[in-house]
Amino acid sequence: MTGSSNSEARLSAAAGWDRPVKKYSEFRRTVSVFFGRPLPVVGLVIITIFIIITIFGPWIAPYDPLDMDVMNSLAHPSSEHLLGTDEIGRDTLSRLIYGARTSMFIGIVVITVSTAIGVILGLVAANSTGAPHHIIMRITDGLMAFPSIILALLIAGLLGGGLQNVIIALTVGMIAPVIRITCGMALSVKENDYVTAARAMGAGNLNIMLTEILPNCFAPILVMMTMGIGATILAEAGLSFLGVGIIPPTPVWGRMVNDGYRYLLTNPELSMAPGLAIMLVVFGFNMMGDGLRDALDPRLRGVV
Amino acid sequence: MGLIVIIIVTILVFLLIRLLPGDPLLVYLTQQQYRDAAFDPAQLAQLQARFGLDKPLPMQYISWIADMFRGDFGESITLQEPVSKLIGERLPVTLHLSIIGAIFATVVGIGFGIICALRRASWLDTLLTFLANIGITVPSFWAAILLIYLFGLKLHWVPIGGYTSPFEDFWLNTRQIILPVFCMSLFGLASNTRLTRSCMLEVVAQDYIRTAWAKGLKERVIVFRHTIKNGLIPLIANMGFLVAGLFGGSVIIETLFNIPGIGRLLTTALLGQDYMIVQASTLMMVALITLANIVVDISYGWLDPRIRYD
Repeated sequence: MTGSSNSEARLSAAAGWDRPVKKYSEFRRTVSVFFGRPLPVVGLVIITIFIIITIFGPWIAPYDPLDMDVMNSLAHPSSEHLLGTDEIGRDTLSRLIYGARTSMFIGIVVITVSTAIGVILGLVAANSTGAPHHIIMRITDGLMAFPSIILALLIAGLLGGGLQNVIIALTVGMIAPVIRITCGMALSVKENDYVTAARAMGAGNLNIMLTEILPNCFAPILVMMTMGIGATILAEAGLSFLGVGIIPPTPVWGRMVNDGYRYLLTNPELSMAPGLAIMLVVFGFNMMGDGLRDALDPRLRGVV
Repeated sequence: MGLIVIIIVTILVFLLIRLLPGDPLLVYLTQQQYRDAAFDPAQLAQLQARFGLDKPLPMQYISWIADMFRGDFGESITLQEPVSKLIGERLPVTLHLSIIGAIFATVVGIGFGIICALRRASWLDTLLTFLANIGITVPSFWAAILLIYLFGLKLHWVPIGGYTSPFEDFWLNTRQIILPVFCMSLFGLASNTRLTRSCMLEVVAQDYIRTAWAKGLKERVIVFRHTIKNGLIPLIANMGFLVAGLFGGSVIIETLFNIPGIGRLLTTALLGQDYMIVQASTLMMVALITLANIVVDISYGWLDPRIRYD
């Protein structure tokens, strides 16, 4: 009797079971995984710099982005104009800094609105059978069949350019994947025992949706939002590049690439600089999204 | 399943174009006015009747679908040409670029992914993974401008745009399409590399691969027969996205390289509010993408019998 309990004690000591259990924090684990690899951190740094530029743009920018210095048009980079000037003498660096504001604003608004609508429709689709489910999911299938740039191009082109219309076009283009992933996640979460338990305790449909299912869909939605901002900025740049985006003279990166294209041989920095800015920002959001996904839930690989 | 998607897509395209503001006939009439300097409301009604725009929406939809089955896509409002003829001229160009692009993205992307997975954590893996991460984020138009600058304007290796039929001048055609095809397939290439790498690494960790090593099989047999065969199944699913990405990219790349494909047709028609072309070319692209997705779904279930769709 004593012998066996002795050996048990020795066994648990060897395995480390007798040590006090360290308080296990999911948040701390997530943070340590996220910061454990270089690329997500690089992404975070890029985005932080980008946000600082967005907020403090007017104080950082050396010139007004619309100020024309016609005597100094198509100037090469110099100490006066760090990235040179465009064909009507506007300072490229200042336009780049103000362009960051436009991109960020569009990215955040589009992703917030499309995620809100998409999550609601996704939850409704997952929690209903019959007509509502089929209507929502078939329209989603239809929207997913469009390449997102073509859908956005169609809507923006038909509505005409301008900030509001670009936001509408990109929002419609971003909703479908949110609906599909939310619905898929919600359907699989619904199978868990705790949902059955909540139902047994008399919780209603809406209650279960909001308190049991939605919190458990949080990880993929957050990852999708992060990557979505990058994708939106890229799509907006594509629209502006094609000339159906924001109306000039508001500085936007996509339009700057296109405008600078004509002076590629003499002033390559005119189109190179805004292109590089787009790439860096999208890279930042993608890497951060990747990192968040691996930190929050590695099983989401391939889903989001 | 695919048929339902196509029907929904036709309804979406139709409604989108009809319900959004902007009357293409007014645009057309304004253009006419510049020429004839005369405008009367009867003319508008006459035009509406000619393009069938005076009927109720469901009737317009049904006659549009019925016309399409007869190969009649309507008449372009701005170019005054049958849309089917325009699409017939432009679609082969886009298909030519897209098919080469798809093959390039698949073969090279999978090749890079396999190299990365087999030589994990080597300098080659680090480099290729880094390039792949860049490849999925770089805007295609910017990559195109960069390459035009380098290979077109500085080194003069390739022309900076245009398209010649490969049957006319094969060599010129090849030189013309190298850059656009590369730019269009860049995203697919990069995402294929990333996907292949992660799928392969997942398979390498499986028990049956360890068993194969334990049996003393040669590395070549393990890699080719056991790992690659199973690791590449998820890539088939990616093919659908690849096709969608190629068509989506064609809109920008064809405009930039001045290639007379369906993407540029769509952009110019959209800017000119020529919605007969817009609806026909959009529908054509989306139908081809849906078709590609159906082929993907079928071959997916066929390659991996564990996956069956209801």
